[in-house]
Amino acid sequence: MGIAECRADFPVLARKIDGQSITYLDSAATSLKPHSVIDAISEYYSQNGVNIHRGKYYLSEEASDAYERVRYSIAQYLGAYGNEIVFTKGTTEALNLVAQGLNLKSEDVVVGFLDSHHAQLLPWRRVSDVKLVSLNSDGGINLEHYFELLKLKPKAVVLTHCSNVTGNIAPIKQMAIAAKEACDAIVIVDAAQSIPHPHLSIDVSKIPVDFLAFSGHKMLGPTGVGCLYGKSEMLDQLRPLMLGGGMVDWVDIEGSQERKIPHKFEAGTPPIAATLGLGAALSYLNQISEQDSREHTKELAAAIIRGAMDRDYLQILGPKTTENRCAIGSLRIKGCDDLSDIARALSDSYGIMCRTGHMCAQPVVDNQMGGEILRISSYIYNTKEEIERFYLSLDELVSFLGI
Amino acid sequence: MNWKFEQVKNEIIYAYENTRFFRKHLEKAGLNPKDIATLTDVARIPPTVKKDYRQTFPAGVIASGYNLKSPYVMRFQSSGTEGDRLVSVVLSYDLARRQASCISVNPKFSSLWKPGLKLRTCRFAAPNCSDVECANPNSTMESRMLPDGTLVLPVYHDLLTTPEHMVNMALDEIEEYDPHLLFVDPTHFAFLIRAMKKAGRSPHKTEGFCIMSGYTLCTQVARRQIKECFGEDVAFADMLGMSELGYLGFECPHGHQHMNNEDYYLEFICDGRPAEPGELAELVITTLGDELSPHIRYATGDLYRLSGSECPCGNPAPSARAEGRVKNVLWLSDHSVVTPREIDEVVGPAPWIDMYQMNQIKEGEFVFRYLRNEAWTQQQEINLTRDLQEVLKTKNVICSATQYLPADRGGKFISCMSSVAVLEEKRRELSWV
Ligand SMILES: Cc1ncc(COP(=O)(O)O)c(C=O)c1O
Ligand SMILES: [Zn+2]
Repeated sequence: MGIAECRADFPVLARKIDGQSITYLDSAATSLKPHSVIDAISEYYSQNGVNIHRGKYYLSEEASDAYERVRYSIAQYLGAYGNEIVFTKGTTEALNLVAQGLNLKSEDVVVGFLDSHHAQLLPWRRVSDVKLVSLNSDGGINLEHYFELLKLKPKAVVLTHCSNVTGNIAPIKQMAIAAKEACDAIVIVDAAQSIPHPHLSIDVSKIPVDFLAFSGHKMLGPTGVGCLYGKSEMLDQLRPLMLGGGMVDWVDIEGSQERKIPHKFEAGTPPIAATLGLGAALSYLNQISEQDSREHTKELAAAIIRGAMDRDYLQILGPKTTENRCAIGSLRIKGCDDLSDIARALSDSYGIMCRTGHMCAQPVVDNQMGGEILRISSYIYNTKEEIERFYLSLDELVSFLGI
Repeated sequence: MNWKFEQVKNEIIYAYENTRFFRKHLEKAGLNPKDIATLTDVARIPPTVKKDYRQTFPAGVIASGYNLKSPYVMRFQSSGTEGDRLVSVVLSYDLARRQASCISVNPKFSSLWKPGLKLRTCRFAAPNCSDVECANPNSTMESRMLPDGTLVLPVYHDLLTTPEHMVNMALDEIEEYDPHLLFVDPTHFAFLIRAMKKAGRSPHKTEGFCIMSGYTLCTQVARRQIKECFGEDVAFADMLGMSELGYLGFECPHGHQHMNNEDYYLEFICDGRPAEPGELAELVITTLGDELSPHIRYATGDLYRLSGSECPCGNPAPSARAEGRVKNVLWLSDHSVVTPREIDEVVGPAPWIDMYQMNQIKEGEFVFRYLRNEAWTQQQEINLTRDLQEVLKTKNVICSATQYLPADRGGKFISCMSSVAVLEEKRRELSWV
């Protein structure tokens, strides 16, 4: 399957609002869902609908088998083992699970990054002494500063593969190796923005990554399910965050015996339908070649950067090159502090859906742009023409709004 | 021949008179045991399939006069995949008889039948084959000991995730129990051997015991690793069996599978007729003298090619090559079929591969994943890719090394599978299942 033909697989894109078709430019927040994912979810509810890992009856075994197969296929995608994949609600829960479970002390140093999402910052702040790596002048990661901070012998480094604000792709292999060499720090990667792109897939058997987190909903899957990959030695030591049914082998009056990994982290009934949907999403992504994904991303990123650079009234965050970049553009409109009117009008008059605010990454947005931004982010179903249309619409709006 | 027909006829009459399922089955086909007057007439009886036995267990398939608590009744359970599970019962002496007829084709295994020998067996295969909790890391040797002297060794459901301490536990237990027979899934056992080497350990011994492989197709890659570890002379043979019936066939010293046509009436069916030698055929089994749960024309979903010539070992039992399961064959775009065994022939003993899995993703799309070792070179991968492309008649074959291959949920490791072959319309073309 080529990227060019995939639009037809996304039913939302056929929808009209007030007679206007949709230009969806907020995929960094969440992606749209293809038919196959929707079908997998509704098929579970219409044909099965029962709990997993419970009974010996046919439907329960069928559901359990399907559920566990998703785990295996994710493991294969990452180059991990099946028992190293923990299902969570999403990236946020996965990162909290690690931060809470490592038994860090408040004086332990953790090296984080200015451009990370709040999900890769706040959980660490609660349990440790977080030192942030700054950005260099073009919005990329200041590697010198990172190496400097490694001298503090941090217990952990918390990396973000692709920033949801700058779209910048961090050299995580180099950074992870440096962290191991400097002080054998635990390496935790937020892959929420990179995993959706086949050309940015990570092979954990080749990079010294201890934990890696991502969400299903940004990679064509449903909301409510995500993953934590953890090296089995690390998961063995990690303390579960949630306790309850399904995570113990044995409970008596005095105590209990935890199940083996990954099950000891999966207390309670999981979102079964969503997980099956995630499996379908992965199958869908597996049909897209790395090459197609890379070229498409490059084309869109070029259109995003060019559009911003061509306009005096716009400032774009992050490196101005398509190398090591996702097709995300965070824009500041000079002289306009309240972007809500713009976002509303883009949507109502042009059918263009994009986001305004701090993008859950306020430190970097405030530091680099001095306030709110307008973010466009694109994915496999977007076209260069849609990006161009966004800029032309913005031109019109800006002049009519008198900015 | 007449004698065989008598046996088949008796089995049919017995099943008709004593099991509710088979009586209904014959009646539905408008037949009565009296209609079966020659061996050719047997083919008029519509085959029975696993689903029939699952749906009517226990009331429809256990013969009147027996129940699960009757003496000598053994209960077996196979997890199957995709809802293909089954609980079945066999009389222990039938099982022993079938086993003895099969194994008699290989003199290397005669030591197992010494009179008075209290056989010690260690089993290393997918969990779920019995009721013991071999996948529980905290289980003890005692808790995994079966009444017949079989010690079930510990292993995880997902083979490659079995942790080191459990591997060591399994190896320690083999040393301690000192079995006469190691009964193993070949892929599982090859994994254990690799883990053993990695832990710097060596085999507990290299002679004076037997290794039997079963459960899944014995790949040449697994066979090579077992032979490398235990030596060419170790008593090693591949057995064919089904959890619901027991032994079906056994490998002779010439490396051929001889089928047990003493305790069963075996049919090899191709396009609804008896197959010629060399033709791809489904095995259909009728038990003989099974008073507990007779199976009449039981379509196995397993494919074979009958050999046209006599085996040099001199054993008269028919020899055949097991090709794999109907639901695991690969369907090519020109509508021809490549079996798991044929894929294994292409891969061969491949000293550079530890384990592999061929997967047909969809029509015309194949992925071959494998675990590689130090003997690997890029050129070997290129050559194998080319060979696979040739047999599969498409360029669309991805060949890639990995460190993880998942077992199926029941714990079996399937070396060749296809999402096309599982479709009902495809299965029907080759089989009744
Ligand atoms: C880089 C990054 N990390 C973490 C998250 C949080 O993901 P979720 O809300 O699915 O937990 C996001 C989502 O916006 C993100 O972009
Ligand atoms: Zn022979």
